[in-house]
Amino acid sequence: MKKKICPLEKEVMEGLGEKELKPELQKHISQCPVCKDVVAVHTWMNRFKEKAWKTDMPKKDLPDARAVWDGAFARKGRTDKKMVRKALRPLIFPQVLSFVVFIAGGIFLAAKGILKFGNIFDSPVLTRVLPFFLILISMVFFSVIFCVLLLALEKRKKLV
Amino acid sequence: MLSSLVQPLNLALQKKDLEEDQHGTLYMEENRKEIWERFYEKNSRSFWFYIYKICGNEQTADDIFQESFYKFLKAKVSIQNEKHMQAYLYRIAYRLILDRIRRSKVEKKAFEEGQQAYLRNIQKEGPQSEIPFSLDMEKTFKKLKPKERMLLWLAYVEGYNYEEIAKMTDTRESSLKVQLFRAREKLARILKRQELQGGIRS
Repeated sequence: MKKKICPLEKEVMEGLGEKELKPELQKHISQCPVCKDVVAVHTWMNRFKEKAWKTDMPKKDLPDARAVWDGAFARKGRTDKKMVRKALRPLIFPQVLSFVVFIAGGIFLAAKGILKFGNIFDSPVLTRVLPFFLILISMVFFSVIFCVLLLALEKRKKLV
Repeated sequence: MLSSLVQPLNLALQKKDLEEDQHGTLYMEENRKEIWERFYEKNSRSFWFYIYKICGNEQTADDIFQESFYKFLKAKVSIQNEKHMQAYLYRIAYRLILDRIRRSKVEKKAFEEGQQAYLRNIQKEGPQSEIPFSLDMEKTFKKLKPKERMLLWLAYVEGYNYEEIAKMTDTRESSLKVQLFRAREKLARILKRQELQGGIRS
């Protein structure tokens, strides 16, 4: 089985980090394939970092520390309000619409009943029809609200 | 607002220099900001560089960099020292980078395109640039998977040990050793092959 770990690997790494390898470690490295790879990879990685840093970093502007701090704490309040507004937006239109339909329907029925039967509350037709009508209206109203609520919740979940 | 400021930098409360000078919340808050600024000034550039080297895309690196610091500032963890703070930051970034890669194939494609664009830019700017930069090294590093790049970077550039990296990556130490060994072996193999093909131009 191929050797994957060397007990001296840690010491080699520390030595490389301090840029000082003891002679006995150097001797070990020349014989150990694991440590040989460790040295090769460590040297290459650090040379790569050095070169890439010189190329990439001088032209890079990073945000100011205070801006990041403010961003982290200001962001939560802002996004919460924004999310609530977004989530509730689909609810407003059906709410207004159902309210208007309900009021208009009531006025229309009352007017029609008064015109046709005189005193609406004495009419036998109205007493039979009105409960069914109210049940129907409320069923439609609540199912619309339920659907819209589900949609809003789903949207909010996505936002979060 | 104040409570949200109190909990995130509980790391600042554990600093000895702060404990001597506690005169009130506002004062403490300013001190936390100072500690934060010192930490940020010291680590932000190398942290951004790490993310950039793993992602190979400046826009993605900026996003992950910012998100990491936001998460870091809001984290409810007790942190003992600066090394622990750095490790925690790298841990957040590790997860964010992996999330970004896993999220969708479309983004993965964009991610790869970003890397290719980066290589093209380097190729274009390389000869004119006064700083000698080896395109071969960049290409070699990109031959590794993002996770391999992260592990190698954490171990050989940042100098974290197995235990620390295992904590950062939520992996068992034993399996991390294997992963790191494989990544190292892969890179060493590539380097040897390049050496055989005429030396690494660096």
